[in-house]
Amino acid sequence: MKHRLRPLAPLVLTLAFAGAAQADGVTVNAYGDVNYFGSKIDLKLPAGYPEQPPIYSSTFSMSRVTTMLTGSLGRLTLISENTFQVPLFSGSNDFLIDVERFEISYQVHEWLRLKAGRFHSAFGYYNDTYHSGYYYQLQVDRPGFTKFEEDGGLIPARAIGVHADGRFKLGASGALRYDVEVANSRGATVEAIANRQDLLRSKSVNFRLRFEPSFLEGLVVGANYYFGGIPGSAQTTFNPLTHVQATVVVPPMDEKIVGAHLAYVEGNIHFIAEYAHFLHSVRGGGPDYHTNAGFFEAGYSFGEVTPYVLLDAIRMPSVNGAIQDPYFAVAPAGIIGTRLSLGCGVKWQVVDGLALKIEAQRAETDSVQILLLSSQAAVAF
Amino acid sequence: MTKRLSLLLLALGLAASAARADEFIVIRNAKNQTGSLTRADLREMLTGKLKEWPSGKLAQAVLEAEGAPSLKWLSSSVFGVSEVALLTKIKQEVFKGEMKRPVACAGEDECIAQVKAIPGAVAIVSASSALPPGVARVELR
Repeated sequence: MKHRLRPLAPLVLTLAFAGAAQADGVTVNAYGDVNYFGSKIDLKLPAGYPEQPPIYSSTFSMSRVTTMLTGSLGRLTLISENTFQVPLFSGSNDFLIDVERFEISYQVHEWLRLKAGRFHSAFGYYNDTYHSGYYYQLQVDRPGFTKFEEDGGLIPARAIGVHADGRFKLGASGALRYDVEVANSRGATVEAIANRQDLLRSKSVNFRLRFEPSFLEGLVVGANYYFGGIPGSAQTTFNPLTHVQATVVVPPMDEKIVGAHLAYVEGNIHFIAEYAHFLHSVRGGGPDYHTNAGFFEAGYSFGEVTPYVLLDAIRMPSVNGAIQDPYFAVAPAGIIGTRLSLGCGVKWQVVDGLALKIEAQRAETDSVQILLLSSQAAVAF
Repeated sequence: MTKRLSLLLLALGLAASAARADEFIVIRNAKNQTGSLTRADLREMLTGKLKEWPSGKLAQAVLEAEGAPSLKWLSSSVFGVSEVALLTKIKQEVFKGEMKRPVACAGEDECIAQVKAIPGAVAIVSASSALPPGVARVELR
């Protein structure tokens, strides 16, 4: 559930911090993007259903504006990132306010930084590298399983809790970075973030370990292990593609996510690959559900112009197109379900602060084939 | 004759490139005991990967704006990228929360004054700058 008024609280805190932070000051930045999308959707209907014509759509889209306040007092740092957005699967054109991040961090040492608040979880590479500033990323949108929860992502992208990270030099061989997070559990649905109240007593735990070898500066090789609980609930869902409404019982489950990532974003070369395996186990001896997801994007910069290719895949357990994992079945991600997407595009960084992108993607899911043409003007000031 | 001319041109070329390399220097607050850094350390410090000096002082970049000769030198000679690419990288690291926002300075005198005032500051100035007491040079290894 998005907050409509609560962002005022962190804003007040930020302004109070701004008043105190005479030495280093507080600065405000703004991020946003304007898009134009054109798509063609072919429904894959079961045998016996009358054939349907393709669905064409074209639209301008301005669905996300971010303001970010940052301040520091010596080793103490504050980040308050507030987003006004229209979530992809909200069924509405109205803007909602979301406190995307509110982090208070203290740099104890090179090998220890402590953080508390609401932050983007240290899962994989994309999630805490690009945040909601689409100007910085290569693609028009975030890759499949790393999308934000309300936009069809699978990972717990936001976390409310505490975080520790640090970095150690390993002599001439490189450096090791660790991240540990203890945070509220998943909400009753994927997109319901437990901002104020965790429905479970147990907390989720996320570990990330990265190796940065010195033989190739900029290369990052990392892995994640996440475990936590999923509260039981009953959810009513509506699939806008098939117009089917259903009530799904989500039993209490345990969740384990294992991930790996490889990234090299340095000089002219841009390469990111991520993989994640999700295991949902129904408590009390119920079935296990396995979901696999991965993507890669690769680009090469010629000056300020970067052509790129991308591949994005999610495989969920399904029978006749029906997602079996009840937690993902009721999520925005479940509407799309298993998918394979291929695409290519070009990003042109016109000046410092403005990037233009055009992209074409062809995606295939259990129920539809989608051809999507996107263009984006993304800014960061 | 041709061989002599080639050697002369080579010598002149080497001298010119040496002059370019010495055109700018890295400076620190004199209270910071770290007298030398590798180029990789400097790159990491200016993009938020290395958050402290080896001496323990919290790193704080002090940079001139786009178009300044010191930033041109930094982006091309130390990072090997364009100024826009370097500034975007720095802005992204601030956005991520991985580094403190660089302190802006207009002109070398202001950069030097900022370095004198901030214990963990690091800045780039021309090699011909007169460094006052309280500001020292960082040798790049």
